[in-house]
Amino acid sequence: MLTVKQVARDTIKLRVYDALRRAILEARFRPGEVITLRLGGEALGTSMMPVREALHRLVAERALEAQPNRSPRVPVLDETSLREILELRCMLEGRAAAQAARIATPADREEIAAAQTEFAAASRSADPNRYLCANTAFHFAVYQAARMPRLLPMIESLWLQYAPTFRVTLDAMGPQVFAPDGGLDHHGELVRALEEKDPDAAQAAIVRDILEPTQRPGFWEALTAPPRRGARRTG
Amino acid sequence: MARTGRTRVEMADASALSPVDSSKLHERAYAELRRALMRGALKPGQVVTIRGLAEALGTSVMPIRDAVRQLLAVGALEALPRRAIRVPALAETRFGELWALRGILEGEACALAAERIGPAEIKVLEKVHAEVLASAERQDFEALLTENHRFFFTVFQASRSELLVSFIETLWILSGPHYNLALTPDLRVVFNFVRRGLKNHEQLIAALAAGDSEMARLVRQKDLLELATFLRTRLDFTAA
Repeated sequence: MLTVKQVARDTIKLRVYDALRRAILEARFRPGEVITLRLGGEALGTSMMPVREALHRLVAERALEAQPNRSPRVPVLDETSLREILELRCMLEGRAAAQAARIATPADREEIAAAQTEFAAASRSADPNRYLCANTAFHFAVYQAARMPRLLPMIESLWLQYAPTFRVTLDAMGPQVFAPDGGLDHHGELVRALEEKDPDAAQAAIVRDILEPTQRPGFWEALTAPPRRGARRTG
Repeated sequence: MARTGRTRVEMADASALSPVDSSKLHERAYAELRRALMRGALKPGQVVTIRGLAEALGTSVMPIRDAVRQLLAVGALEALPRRAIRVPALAETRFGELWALRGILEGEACALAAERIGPAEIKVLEKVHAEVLASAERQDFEALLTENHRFFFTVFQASRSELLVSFIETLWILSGPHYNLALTPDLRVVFNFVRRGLKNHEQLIAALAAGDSEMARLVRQKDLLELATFLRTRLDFTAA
């Protein structure tokens, strides 16, 4: 039998895990940042126990990196591992987008269009936190529409690994990254491909969207640059 | 129809879940459970309890609880009300998705391996392949599963992409329970299929040795397609 206490404990565990996971996905932590039990507990206003378990699970998902005799840290990606992640992202997210083009319902497409409206507004706002949230929401609205529940956690695992580094490159490339970019409207292309039920076009749009930032000046240099102090925004 | 291999299943159960006595109990428990799932020791829809798994592994409840939680997270197990757990039920959409993803990821791993594999690893593959053949000859199903796993993960690891290998491993854990249902008391049917399939292993080695990425990818995808076709004739999706 489930006791009230047990339910409460399970709920707290899940909430703490979700909150930490979201914080990583939205790049609230920097690559290399050590996530101590206290830091996690303070950020979430909870005791250390559920944080310990959440950290354990996030390490298993590769969102965090275990360190001997220390708290885990946010992964620091070198060029090789970043290229590996980008290749897998193209492969898996391309597949999800193609499947979404085949089977998305009108309700899915409406939700994706709404996420795209918010993304466009977030791009104009030049607020990196809002931009990252809106970008994540848009992509996952598309992947949800593919209805491939085994694929989704793999894509999430790649995003958890990529997000903190992506944030560093965005910061390094400066606010012009967020400016509405005329010829580079990959999300718009993807929305059109979904409307036209064109899997190949959807796949191509997602791959361009993933790779385009890596071709901008400053992207790869940002990986080796020392972290900018005070650039961190938590909240 | 394919659910008649009860004796077989119990045998696989007992040998796949060997007792755990190490200090790293959680990791051992997790590894043992993954291995049991991969080898088809559990079948789709099978309900398990944490206590039952702990008894089978000869360990306490705590490490099993952690291991189960990790398997729930990747979808290898499902939570039911009242703390019961089960292997996800047989479903055609799930089967189709799994094999589609395996085709993409295992195909890619084989293609990368063709570019990156060294002569020493080819030698290892040839040796492991000989073991696979020998166990098929002896109709030793447990050895066949072990050597087959070793063969493919030697190839996948030659892709030098740790991430890719970990995703494929998850897909093998999710695929495993389907093999349970495909086993019949008459293992000749299974071994006839296996013997035909082993031609694909030889072609894969040849493609890897020649550094032919696209051939390696195609051979693996053809092999997986044949496996899916074989399983589909033995899985009753309508009963689910």
